[in-house]
Amino acid sequence: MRMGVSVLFALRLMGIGSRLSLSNARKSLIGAVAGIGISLVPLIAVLVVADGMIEGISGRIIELSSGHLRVADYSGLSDASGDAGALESLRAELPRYSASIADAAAERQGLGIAIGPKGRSGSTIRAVSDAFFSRSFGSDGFLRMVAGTGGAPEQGEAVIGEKLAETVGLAPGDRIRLLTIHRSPSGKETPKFASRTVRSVVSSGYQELDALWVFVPFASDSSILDPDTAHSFISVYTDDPYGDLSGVRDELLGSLPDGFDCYTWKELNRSQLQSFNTTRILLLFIMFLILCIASVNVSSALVMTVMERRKEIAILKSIGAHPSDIAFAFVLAGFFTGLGGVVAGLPLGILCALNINEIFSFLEQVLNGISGFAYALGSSSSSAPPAAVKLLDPAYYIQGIPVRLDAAELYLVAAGTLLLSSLVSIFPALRAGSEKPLDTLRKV
Amino acid sequence: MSDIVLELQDVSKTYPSEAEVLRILNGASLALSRGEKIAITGESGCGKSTLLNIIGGLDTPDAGTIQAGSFSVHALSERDLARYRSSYLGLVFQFHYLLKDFSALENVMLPAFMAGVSRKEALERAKELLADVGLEHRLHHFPSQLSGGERQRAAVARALVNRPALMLADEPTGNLDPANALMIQDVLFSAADRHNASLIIVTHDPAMASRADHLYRLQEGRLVRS
Repeated sequence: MRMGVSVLFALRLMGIGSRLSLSNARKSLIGAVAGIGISLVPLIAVLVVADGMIEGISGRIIELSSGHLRVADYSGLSDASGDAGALESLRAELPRYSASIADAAAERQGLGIAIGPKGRSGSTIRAVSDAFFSRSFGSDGFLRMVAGTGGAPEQGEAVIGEKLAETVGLAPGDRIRLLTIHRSPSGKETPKFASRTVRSVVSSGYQELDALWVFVPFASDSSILDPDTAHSFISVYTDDPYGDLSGVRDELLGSLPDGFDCYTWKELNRSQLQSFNTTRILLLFIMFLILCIASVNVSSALVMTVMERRKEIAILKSIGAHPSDIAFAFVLAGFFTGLGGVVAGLPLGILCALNINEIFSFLEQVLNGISGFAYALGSSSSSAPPAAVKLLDPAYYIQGIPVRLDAAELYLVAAGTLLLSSLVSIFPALRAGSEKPLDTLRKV
Repeated sequence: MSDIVLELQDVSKTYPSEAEVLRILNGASLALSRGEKIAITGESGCGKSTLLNIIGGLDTPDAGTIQAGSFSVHALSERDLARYRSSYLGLVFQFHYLLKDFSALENVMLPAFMAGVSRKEALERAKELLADVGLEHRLHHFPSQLSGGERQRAAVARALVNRPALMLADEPTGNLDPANALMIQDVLFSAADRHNASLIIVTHDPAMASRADHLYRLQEGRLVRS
């Protein structure tokens, strides 16, 4: 029952179960609870939003760009690598090599310039199989049609990204001109123009991708791109892209023609994934520092509590409490303070994260309102109105911030907070445990 | 098993002050049998409370030994001191020293918890003791809701909850009116009789001192039996 004494004393230090009296130390402990709670809100929000954004961007990249696995012959040893027909035949064969393969799409991808009535823009021209569109426009796909006719482009047609369409001034039905470079057998490079009708304008929700892509049909238009300056590959899709893909890769490697290799999406996007993770870790580290500062409040509140409760500590010792019982009570008080912060901060953080789009929108409205008001008060007739404030420029981020709640991460945050609160309580706890009862009782 | 509950041999204690070293205890010795009740009197500042604090393990002697049952109090570690205070000793001070955030019942139960008594047993003992001191209707009251006499009675109940072999009371009625003082005397002496506990009372009250089996006077740092 000795632990019961520590638990009971810790609860009473927090004011739980005793008559309500708000001493300075108790106010400090309540402040420390609030500090922990408030510091958890941005931590949870950043964690949830960062995870959602990384998963959202990664999802778009692997579904729309790299595929779950990529089969390619970058060595040039195989004849099939530059031959569209041979590549298409290999694509049709792939599902037989592994039961985990759900679909595959052949692609030739190269750089070019897209030209429209408003101007020109560097673009990535992608000659892709119909399978790519049936996946990407499906219910789980990441392509959304903004304007035009749905489905894959037919011969003489192109599907272009929304941002690109806006930049060069194209709409469905317009003609887009594509400039690519072709290399002759002698090594001389010449420009080649091709003109296609815009079938539809699409968006991946990620403007960085939408600003580049021009899709044309693989079967008829892969010749727009010179096999020597473009690269050809097959994007392979599985049922579980986030699972372990090494088994599928090994099965494919065992069956592919000479020269072909197989890469998982993690290998293909390693630098980008590392960049995302580094950013995420840095953000979390900054938030963790805020939490550490809040935890220091716990420590200082407990030091104040020790000073205020010296008499009670002395009494407990005089009636038989061991120093470790007293110290443990103060560590528990720190733990309970952290627990209070977690109980308050975790739901609030989740709530903020779930409504992050609305919060940003509201903040943008407030900032624009203030900016507009300031302009109206102090503007001269010649000065231009201020540009609208965008907290997250959609040119660089997904247009709607996705939110992903990971229970394991939330448990980890809660456990880490409780551990931190307990650790910072050790110093005041040791101080409480080492109090000499007689010194205090003499002064009472 | 020895019948001696407490044995002091040549206990000395000095306090340095600016002008001189104050020799408070100077070879104080005492042997106390089980169930024996003694009163210690003396002038204010003669060292009565210091002696009690040393016996209670709250202070340390400069020299001499204190043997309480199996506990060599003068040489105990913090852990054993805690065990000594919770299992062997019952302390009653002039001021009640109840914990303000705990009810009367919880205050009495706490030392039992510290001694490893089960919650059920601690609850039974605490209720019984509080009834003995006339506080059965005040179990869930906090110290601030009790009168001065009630607080001191609760403090006596707390000192008795672990059925100590030795009870130390340092002017337990010093802050009380005569009626409450008498009640505390009755409670202390009857509880000591009921549990066959030895009792050392430091007091200025002749009436209380006269109820003890023996009366000692602390003179020039030594205990002199009157």
